[in-house]
Amino acid sequence: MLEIIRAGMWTTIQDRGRFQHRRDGVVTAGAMDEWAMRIANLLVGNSDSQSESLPRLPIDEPSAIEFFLVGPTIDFHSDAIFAIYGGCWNAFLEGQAIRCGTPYIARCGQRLEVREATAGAWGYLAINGVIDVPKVLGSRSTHTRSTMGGFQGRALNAGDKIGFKSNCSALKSATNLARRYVPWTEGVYGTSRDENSIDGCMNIKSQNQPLSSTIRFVLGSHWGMLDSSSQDALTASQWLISKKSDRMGYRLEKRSDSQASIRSDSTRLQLASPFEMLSEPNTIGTIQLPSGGEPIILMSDAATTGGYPRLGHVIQVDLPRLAQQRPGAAIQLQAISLADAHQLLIARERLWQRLVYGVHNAFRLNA
Amino acid sequence: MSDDLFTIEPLGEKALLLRFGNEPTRECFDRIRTFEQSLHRHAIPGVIESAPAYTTLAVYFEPLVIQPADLERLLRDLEMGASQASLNVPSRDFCVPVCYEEKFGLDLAYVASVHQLTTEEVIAIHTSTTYFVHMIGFLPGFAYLGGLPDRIATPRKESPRTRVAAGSVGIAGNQTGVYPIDSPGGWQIIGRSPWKFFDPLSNPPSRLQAGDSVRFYAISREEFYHIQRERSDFKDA
Repeated sequence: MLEIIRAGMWTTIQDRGRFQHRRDGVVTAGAMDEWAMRIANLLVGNSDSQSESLPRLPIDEPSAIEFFLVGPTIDFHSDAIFAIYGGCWNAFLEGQAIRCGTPYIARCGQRLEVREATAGAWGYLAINGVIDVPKVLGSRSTHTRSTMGGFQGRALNAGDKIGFKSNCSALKSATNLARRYVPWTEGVYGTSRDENSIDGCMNIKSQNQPLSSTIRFVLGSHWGMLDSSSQDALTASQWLISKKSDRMGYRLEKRSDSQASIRSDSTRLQLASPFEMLSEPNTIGTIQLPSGGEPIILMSDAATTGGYPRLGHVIQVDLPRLAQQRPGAAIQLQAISLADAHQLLIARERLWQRLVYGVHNAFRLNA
Repeated sequence: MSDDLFTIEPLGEKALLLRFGNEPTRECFDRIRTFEQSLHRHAIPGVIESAPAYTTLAVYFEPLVIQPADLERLLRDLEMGASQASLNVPSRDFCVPVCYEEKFGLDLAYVASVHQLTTEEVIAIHTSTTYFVHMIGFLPGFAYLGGLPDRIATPRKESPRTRVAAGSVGIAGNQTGVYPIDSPGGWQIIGRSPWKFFDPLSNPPSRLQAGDSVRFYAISREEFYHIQRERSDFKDA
């Protein structure tokens, strides 16, 4: 069991999301940076459900404790293997600085303190085994607005006690694990600029390397309805992630050198002609254009349907990197073809398979 | 448009949007549901789920399992069968109790004044119509009800409320609907129902489903609290 001592910000339990109920308006929720959430789980020996090679752990869908900009302080009331991933965090186990992307063993009675993020926005604390909260409609993801899933349907507070079911055999050999993992995780934090490397396609900066801020998208149904200067403006200008952004959506604001022109109407995107639309389905990553003319990119807690024009959809492999942009950060949007987006997704899946293979081998060596 | 039952647009990399028409008519709705029926029957590997809206159907899929082009072809195959199939989805009728008293009908007087009606007349109009559930969206379990008479159609509030209580019955333009959960919202609130419309521990979690018919009837505040106390939630459907 673990106990929340300080909650951090927007700290919730998330898995990959709640699917198959969108027809009932059920928001999928799920990790803002699903890729980081999956890697955090991989690092502690939790398998994806489809993995075959790992000795069976009592786990189905990986889940993690997600936090935003400031992490939680947690007391462990039993032994656990844990790892933090997604962004970079100042984190301490019993006062000793620890690294992100490396599994550690917490002994019963030890305190983990995750302070502020030094890069990125969303962090994931994964624990070997299953976070013991009931699945609701097939998922452990928290959707606070409908008080569904996670821990009592809400963000975690100081004093909350959360059970987890550890895998004992993994724990037995765990003393060696962390040491064995370090060389491997060096690769994770290397400095490769290759798009397909874990650095490149992930949010994660290595020590000195800033996140790439170009976010790619495929065109949406209503792209053609934008007037041509607005089409150019969407991709040519820098956009700032608004401070009003949250798990539902990242609001974009025009970047401007002079404060005065920020609100000028010429910076607003416009449709070539007014257009009333019926509510239609949305997806995570949809770039929608409300009447105010500043786009919103829908994120994990977005409503299933909406009545705003869809200019595009941020591609799957860039969603984690977008999620990790902090409020106030500047991004550029770049249109790519659906076929290219699909290829990038396949390439990332290949990378994932390599990661799974590498980690599972390390586990076997220690089993 | 050709003779096709629907057009297909990509909705990002992991969904296709099938468009069955431009007007949210009952016929369009039936075409969507008939097609969805055969989609469910065929259980295409890689298809995660589908979700209907007014004139469209989203088909969500896993592109690592099925390529979009292959899925499109399979959907076109299904289309041929579906155009001959008949709709075989039970349509259910609900009579939903609503307390229109001032305590709950926060904007009832405003709606009445906009149309120069008495509040009683607004209630009479609202309860004398059968509404059709076009789709569920916006919030978990939020039913978009079509059929609101123009005589009481009212634009949304200029500034939304930060909290609208679960069960609140609202009007927005020519739509009416019930807030299934507490939520911020901009609809004109004319009453509140004691029913629970969304329960994540039920399956399906939404009490109203696309295709259902709904009529409202007025109840007193005493009846409201009585029903709320006694409700066994979905079982009294």
